[in-house]
Amino acid sequence: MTNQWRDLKNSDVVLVCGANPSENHPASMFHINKARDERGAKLIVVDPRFTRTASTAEIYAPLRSGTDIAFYGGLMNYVMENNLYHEEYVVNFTNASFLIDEGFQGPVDLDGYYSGFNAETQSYDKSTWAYQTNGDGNVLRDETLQDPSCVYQLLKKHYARYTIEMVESVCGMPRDKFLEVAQAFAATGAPEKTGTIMYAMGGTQHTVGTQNVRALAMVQLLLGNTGRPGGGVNALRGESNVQGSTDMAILFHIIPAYMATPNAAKHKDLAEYLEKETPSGGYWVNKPKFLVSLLKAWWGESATARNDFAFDYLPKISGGIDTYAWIAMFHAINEGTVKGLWVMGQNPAVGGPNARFEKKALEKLDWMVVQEIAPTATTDFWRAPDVDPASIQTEVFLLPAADAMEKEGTIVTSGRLIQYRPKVAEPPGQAMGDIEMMDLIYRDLAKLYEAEGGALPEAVLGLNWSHGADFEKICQEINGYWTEEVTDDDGNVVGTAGEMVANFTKLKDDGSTACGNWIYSGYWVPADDGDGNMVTASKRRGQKDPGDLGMNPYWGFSWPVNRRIIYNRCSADSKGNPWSEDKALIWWDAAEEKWTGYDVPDFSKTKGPGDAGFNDPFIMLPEGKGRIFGVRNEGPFPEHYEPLESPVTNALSSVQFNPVVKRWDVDSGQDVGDNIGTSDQFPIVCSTYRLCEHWQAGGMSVWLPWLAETQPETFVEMSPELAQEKGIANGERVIVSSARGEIEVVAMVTARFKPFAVNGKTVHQVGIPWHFSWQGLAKGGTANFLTPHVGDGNTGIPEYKAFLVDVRKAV
Amino acid sequence: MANAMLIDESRCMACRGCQVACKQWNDNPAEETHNWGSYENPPELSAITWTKIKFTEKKEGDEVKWLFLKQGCMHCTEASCEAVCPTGAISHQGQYVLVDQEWCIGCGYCVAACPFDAIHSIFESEDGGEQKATARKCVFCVDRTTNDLPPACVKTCPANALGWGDRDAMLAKAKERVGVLQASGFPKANLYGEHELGGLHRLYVLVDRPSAYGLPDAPKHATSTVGAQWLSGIVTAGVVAAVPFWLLFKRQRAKEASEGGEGQ
Amino acid sequence: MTLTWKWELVIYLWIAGIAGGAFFTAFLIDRFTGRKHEQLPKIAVFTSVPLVLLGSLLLVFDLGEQLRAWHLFTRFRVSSPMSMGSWILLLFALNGVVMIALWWSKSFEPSEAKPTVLSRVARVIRPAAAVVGILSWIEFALAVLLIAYTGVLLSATNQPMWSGILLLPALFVASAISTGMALLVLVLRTGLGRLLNHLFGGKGEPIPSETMHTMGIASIALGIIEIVVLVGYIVWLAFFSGAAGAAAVAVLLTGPMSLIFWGGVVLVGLVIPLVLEVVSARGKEAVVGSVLASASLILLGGLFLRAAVLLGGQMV
Repeated sequence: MTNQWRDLKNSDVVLVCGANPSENHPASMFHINKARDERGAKLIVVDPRFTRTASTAEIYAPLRSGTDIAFYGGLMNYVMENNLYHEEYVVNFTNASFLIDEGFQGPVDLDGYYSGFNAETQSYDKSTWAYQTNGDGNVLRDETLQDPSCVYQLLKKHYARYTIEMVESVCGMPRDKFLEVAQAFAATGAPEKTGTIMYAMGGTQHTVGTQNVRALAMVQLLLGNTGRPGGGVNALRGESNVQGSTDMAILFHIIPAYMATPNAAKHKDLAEYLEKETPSGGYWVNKPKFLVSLLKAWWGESATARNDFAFDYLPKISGGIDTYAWIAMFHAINEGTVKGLWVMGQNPAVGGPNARFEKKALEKLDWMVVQEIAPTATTDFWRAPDVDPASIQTEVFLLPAADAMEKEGTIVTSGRLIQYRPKVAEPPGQAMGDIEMMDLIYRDLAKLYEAEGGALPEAVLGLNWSHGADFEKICQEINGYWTEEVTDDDGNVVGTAGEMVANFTKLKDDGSTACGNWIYSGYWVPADDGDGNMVTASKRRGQKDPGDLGMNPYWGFSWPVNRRIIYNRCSADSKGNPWSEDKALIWWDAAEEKWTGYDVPDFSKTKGPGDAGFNDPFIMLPEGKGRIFGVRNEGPFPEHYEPLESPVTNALSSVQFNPVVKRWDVDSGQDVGDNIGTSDQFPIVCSTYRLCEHWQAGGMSVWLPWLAETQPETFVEMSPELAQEKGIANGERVIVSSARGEIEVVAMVTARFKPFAVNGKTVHQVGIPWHFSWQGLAKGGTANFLTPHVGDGNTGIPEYKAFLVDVRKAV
Repeated sequence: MANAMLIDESRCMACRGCQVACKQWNDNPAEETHNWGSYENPPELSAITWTKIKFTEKKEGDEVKWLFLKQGCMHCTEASCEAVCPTGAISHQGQYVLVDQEWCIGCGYCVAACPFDAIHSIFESEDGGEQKATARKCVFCVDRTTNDLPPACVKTCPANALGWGDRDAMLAKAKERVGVLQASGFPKANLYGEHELGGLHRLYVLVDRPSAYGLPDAPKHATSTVGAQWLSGIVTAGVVAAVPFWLLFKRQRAKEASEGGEGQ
Repeated sequence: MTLTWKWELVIYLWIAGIAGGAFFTAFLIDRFTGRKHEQLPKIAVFTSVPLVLLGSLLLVFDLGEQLRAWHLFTRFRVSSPMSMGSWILLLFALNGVVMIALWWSKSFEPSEAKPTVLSRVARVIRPAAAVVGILSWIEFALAVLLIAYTGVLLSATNQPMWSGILLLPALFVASAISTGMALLVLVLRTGLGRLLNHLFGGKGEPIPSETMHTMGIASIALGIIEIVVLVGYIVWLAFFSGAAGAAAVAVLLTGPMSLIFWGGVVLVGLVIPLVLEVVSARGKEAVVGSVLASASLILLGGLFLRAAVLLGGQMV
């Protein structure tokens, strides 16, 4: 989220697309309802099915799964055709005026491809996707937006094909519904209005997931909604602390706080890493301070300038998505490359794509450790109903884990708000918190390394483990601290050894500071709670809300530096004045000669009108401008491609699916394998999703009787038209099959699903909640037995939302 | 000054937090359910399910509507359950209609009398069979509300669809909301519970007529015609006494008399 | 769906109706024939009091808290038909027991030689026997209330099949009298009546055949009345009780209760007995087998009616 949950109340229009907040983020509806009550805001839901969110929305528009880009493209086309974009914002705060390389060509010219496509490697040479620069390296701009090479004109040309008719025929969204949505949301292009877009896995879990998000981010730039109260690009994270785990680098390609994981081929030493990973402009020029402080936090006194601050101790990767991402990891297990698996509160046998394949891969492991609070289909995969335990050689260790309420910690909301949570109950039996477990394991590991040596024992033995399992000390390390006494140029002591740093602006690249996660820096130091009490920042519960915008700066701590809305320079116009009185967040105080307001400025506090970069709000980017033109693996502008499994051909070009899609082809043709279905066998589009009543892969919810009674089993929702075609009655048991497998579930026949008219063809869509397995009080067919091993072209995120199935009555 | 619960169904999104919070606070066990082709479960209110969301799908032309109704005891001013209770175990106390669990005999009469199907006395026993006990229903979390806490369901509602407070204040709020809804594309919006059965202590803001949600448009008191019912039975007995018995046996007597007369 | 009231209540409503109906019938026949059938009310009391006691047992058995049944008699709640019904049931049974005692005291012939406890009791209460006439009027009034109550109990609810339908008490009353008389006929025809007669010092004189004949005609009339009321009840439900009423009719006529309704209530309880009775009434002498059969079927029909309405009413 660029904004906050509480900031939703400032919205004039809330567009929900690819999310279902009523069911999966119900607390957000409190704030949306506030916007509706207090400012007459509209809620728009765009979704393949009529959800519980749609039930209270002002506008509901159906859209076939996997066609978000066609919809957003149509929306951008509508905005530009009707000159509804926020001109001052677009000209000043985005790269719309930047000129692009003359050699650049797009799908309009190349039938679906961008310039530079290499058919053999299925990838692009991106050299033409670049800004034009003059001799000094400065980017050429045309602030009238008229130059045919400028981003705005290229954008206009690109999306001119995304007409209302095209949207209707690709998305299956009725014309009048599209117009209703477009009119309502484009109205937020007015300078005094803002609109927010809320998205979740419905946006991201696609072969074009990255570009889906790019598309909606571009809409928000065109309409001038980003960085402003009631606006923004708002990802509703799927778990209460998924933001925290991402910040802490749960993904393979980053280390904490969004720095690239060192690559063996690319980064032979610290200097090369810093050289290649530090951009020439923007705030990331400070990356060396952040990385060195991270290394100091991890290796303490073993990290010195002489040994590159232990850079060599960092594990290095030697590949990308094809090697390390989720699907690739299970292929590696399947091939026997990976022999052991440590699972912390995850449930791949339910949650993984093509879960039958992944479940079967687990059988090939030598050993598996699972930290869990309840039996799941993963902890007990070796005794699943379709498995003969005698045939499994995997040694499984179950470590009983404490539940979130049974341990002290912080969680980070989608709005980057870090909140402390005390332990409120003792874990049952032998269960313990993750920190305690890791501490015990580390100590035993260290003993083994000490006794037996092994490969690079110093990387393990040299770790700074002085915190042990002490939660307080770990938080201090994450916050960052001085490793030695440091004085400024005037000889004043700015920090003493062990003292926490105030925030990341204090971090140094000389080893005098240590910091476990620079973006969190400041979250553990005492801060004012608004009532004059100094309280650990993320433990604060101050209620004061200056400006009454829901910023609540004294409640918890929002990274970075307690900033509630990022890019908030955009909340003021090109002169530094608020766009409107009721949404004044920060502004330039000419008298005081500084930025002031109700949020921490995401900007240099004293940079005033006339200063260079005064209109460069996107400080993390070298050019300082919001990227309407932004390079991704499949192109700088999102282009509609069909999902890999689709019942129709692409109406926009002859390129059927994302040309850089990540595909695997192991054991295809076999019962359990990377099979891809065709629409003659599997004519129905299927999506998977979650229910309000259950949580993710079920470990936390399917054993709870009160939840199990509300949603006791798996079902498939379908339209009455499809049910009639297939002779299925509501409540009957049916079999849903895909190229990967089949499951038996209950049929829910409902008018909330409607067939789509796509290109004159009737396309049926069904949907299945994916929480369930054979484990639990609430149980049933596992929806992910049906999903494919296909990943987005940039991140490898699996396609869970658009694949092909067939449905038949269970005999 | 009585309190009331305000339920704004135009805001309810059927997350069912209220349903679970109710079970948790009141220590009611879960029911064994299966999916019957609906999101709705348990299918009905019961002695251990005191509130639940009823899901109703409705087609209006090309559009589909999904209506959610938070069901539960209305704590009627003219409470049918209280009227028919043979032992006086059910009583009206301020806004509460309460069942004295020590005095109730579990006859089940209130179950049949309730216009809202909100009170029940059948339990699922451990072995899966059914077992009758005392009548149970929503108690407005009397242990919370008498200690200045809102009922558990109100406390948990994330959509701000539930309110608890002085009935007049709730009525004013509900009317304002109905006005807003009527002016913004919901011409059928209405307030339910202000006058029904002498005034309910659950007030609903509805966007469609009550029966579209499964509520009785005009709920009636179970004993509103009980005098006439007694009369009907007695009159029928009288008619039966008069027609076959009086006519036939008088005739027989007359016949016997005349026959006897002839004989003598 | 969950049924709160099951077979215990079905049987209870059935036999309470029979008990009240039997006394109602016996009392009226006696009175309308100039006290020529004094043994009939006695036989009826002797039959109905045990029935009422059995019914009360079923009622208690059906309670969620059986040991608290006495709570019923700590309150007198006019608004609650169940409270009223409990009192009616209690008084009907008590009054019946007193009547039996008084009748017995009158006919008790103590052995002069050895006064026993029984003879003393008989001597003490014998003077009160004069009031037995008043008591039987009271018993009659209680019988009317008792049979009305079985219908009022259901109609004072909010179940569409029962609620506020004035013809429901009428239907139950008609059925109660019909089944009450059927039981009386069975008792009289099987000689049980004469046995009971002897208990009160009677001579076991048979009921005159004219009376039995008239009872047969009366039964036909009752059957017709019940059909009229039943049709009226169904029409009321179907056309004047909204969608829920129509749904209730569907439960009875085409739904889960249709077999019991058409087969049990209509065919077994009304049509076949009527045919048998009409055939029997045409002959000079009643065919005993046919009379017994029709009385039994009427009784069964009453059971089916209670089952269809009580169970079906909870399925709407």
